[in-house]
Amino acid sequence: MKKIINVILSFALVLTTLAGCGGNNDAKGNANKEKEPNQESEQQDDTETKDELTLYTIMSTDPDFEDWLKNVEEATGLKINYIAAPTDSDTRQQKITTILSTGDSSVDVFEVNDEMCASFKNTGWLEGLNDTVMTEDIRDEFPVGYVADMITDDNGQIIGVPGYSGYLAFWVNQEIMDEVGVDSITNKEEFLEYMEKASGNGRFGYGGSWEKTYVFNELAQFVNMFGGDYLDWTNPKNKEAMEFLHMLVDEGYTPIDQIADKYEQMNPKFNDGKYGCLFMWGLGTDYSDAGMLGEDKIHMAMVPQFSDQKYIFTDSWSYVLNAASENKDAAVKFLEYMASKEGMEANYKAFDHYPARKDVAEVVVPDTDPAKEMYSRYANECVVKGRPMLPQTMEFITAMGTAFQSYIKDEITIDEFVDKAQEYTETYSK
Amino acid sequence: MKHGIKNNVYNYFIKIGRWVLCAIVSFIILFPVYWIFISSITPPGDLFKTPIDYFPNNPTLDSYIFLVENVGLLSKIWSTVVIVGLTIIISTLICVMGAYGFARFKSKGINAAFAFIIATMLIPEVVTARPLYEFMQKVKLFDTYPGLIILYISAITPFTILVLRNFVTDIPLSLEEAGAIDGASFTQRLFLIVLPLMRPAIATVCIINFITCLNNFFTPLYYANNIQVLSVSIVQLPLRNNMYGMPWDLVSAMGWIILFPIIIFVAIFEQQIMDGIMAGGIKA
Repeated sequence: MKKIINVILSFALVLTTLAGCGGNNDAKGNANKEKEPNQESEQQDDTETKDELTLYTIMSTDPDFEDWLKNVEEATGLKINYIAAPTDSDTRQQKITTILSTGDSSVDVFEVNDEMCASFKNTGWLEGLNDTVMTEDIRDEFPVGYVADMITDDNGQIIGVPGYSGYLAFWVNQEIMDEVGVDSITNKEEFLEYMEKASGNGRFGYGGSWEKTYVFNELAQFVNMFGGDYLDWTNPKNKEAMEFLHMLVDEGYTPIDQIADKYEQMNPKFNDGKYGCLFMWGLGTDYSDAGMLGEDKIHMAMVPQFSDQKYIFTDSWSYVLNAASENKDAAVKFLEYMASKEGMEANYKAFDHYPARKDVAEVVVPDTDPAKEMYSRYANECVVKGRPMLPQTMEFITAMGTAFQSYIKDEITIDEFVDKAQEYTETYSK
Repeated sequence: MKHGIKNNVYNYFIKIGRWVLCAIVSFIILFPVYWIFISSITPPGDLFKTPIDYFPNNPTLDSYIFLVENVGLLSKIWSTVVIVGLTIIISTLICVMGAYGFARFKSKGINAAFAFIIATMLIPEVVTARPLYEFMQKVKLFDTYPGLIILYISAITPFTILVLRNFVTDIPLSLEEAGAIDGASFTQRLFLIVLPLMRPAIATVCIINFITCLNNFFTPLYYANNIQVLSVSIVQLPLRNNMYGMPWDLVSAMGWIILFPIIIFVAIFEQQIMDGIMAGGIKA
């Protein structure tokens, strides 16, 4: 018995000693300790001379993150500590909400997505950047609709710097288009013609990811295309858009079992030639990895025009400044860099993030990038909007997706769906 | 004779039925574990292939290598070992003494204290999250090893005390009285007479607490930023496809790394777990 107690106590002593060595945080309490030993010593030397800030980032586990960080630190002269943000959206939002709502100053800059921007922008937890970073001279270079819809608060203050620009692009399978003899899909008639010709024998003209949270993007996209307003379900165009989606299912132009699909399930089907077209974010990494990206295979196309104009959504992750930050000067310096040509170029090179500024994209993105031409056309020919989100973002998205799934499965009628949608819009906008 | 054959056939079918039931239950439990494993060694492009491959065609350890190289897996394992190890040791010492006190001494105050400790098991973590977050910051325990260990201990203490107290109650008091007659002090009676008899129960709670601590997601997520343990790391992996794609290969690899020690632990100590639960049975 004595031996066992001795072993346990010795183990406890060793662990306690080691815990004491590793767990003693400084006053800031959040400096990241997971860097390479040589970086740590460099940083200790730098601490005395450099301004410091703490960044809460989603990118820290990316293989190129360390190089990106080094680049940013050299360019700004800042010492940047970082904290790895959870990649799971619910978990991340809960954690960031806790930090911001408690006035915790241990994090200066957060990297947040559109959902979080919508939730936080009018809470007073984030610092307005109109006079410091998002000044008038550069403001218009960002997607205007996105800035207005997504990162501007009720007082007209822009609260974030978009880290990149992504479009909910329209992707088509050229092989199928050639096979069925459809040259282009520019309007509703051509879209339906393509649906009819491409569908059949296990293949569908249109593919989607209609899982209850993912379907939000497509619902809002089709509402826009029909000239409706996603936040006003008294608008008859919204109803028309939903009936159109239901018709796609009824006619066998799109499969109903995609209500279980997220992008992970949808993209392989697109690669396998099971879908003729779809809406998808990003630059087509999945298609490229499968050897399917190309002008003669899967490629981006212009969004078809169903109503008065062409509409497209853009998204981003934005850098936002904690209003409780005690390092605002350093944070502003960091944000200025991220809004600059050099900062966006660093993001593009490290993470393949398409620059959010039009003028920067023109200079930084090489003409060989297959996305450049179409992104440029989207920016110039379409009405670019941020996605319609409400303060209780995830609740709204989930409720709408669930109701849509009920409608598409004929569990409720279109009128019941529209009533529910209006009710949710009012409930979750508070 | 006829009756005997009938009985044999009946027993034979019962036996087969048991095996079939065991096989079905085992399949239900083990298939997800198997699926996590093969997902962790399947290249990301093949994960959602149709038709489904139940045996990976191109197995690879890339996900595990990625976790070691880019996610700091080894440092997370070390943090987990330190936190869980210290939690188990300290909580066991505290709870053994607490359980002995609650089992051997009776008063209204002691009963109320015991009821209060047990009642804390009913409070969901999320209810106390926000005030505790602020408190941990004010007392400078946020994102520290001591802070996390205290929270882990507080999470497992009620269950541990409950099990150990029931076990101590079943140890005959006459053993201690005999020791007292022979001149054993209070401390000697506790550590030299009662403690050795509590070994099966202690082993059981240690094993269960080990698994609980290893799976604890909420505490390290909320009350730490830089000290990262395995359970949280599963949600700190790089997104793909313009930030919309979940890296399921990496999630599976991390999941398997978390599961593996638990499987080994339970496989080794299965007998002790069962013995302890049977002996200490929750019947307060």
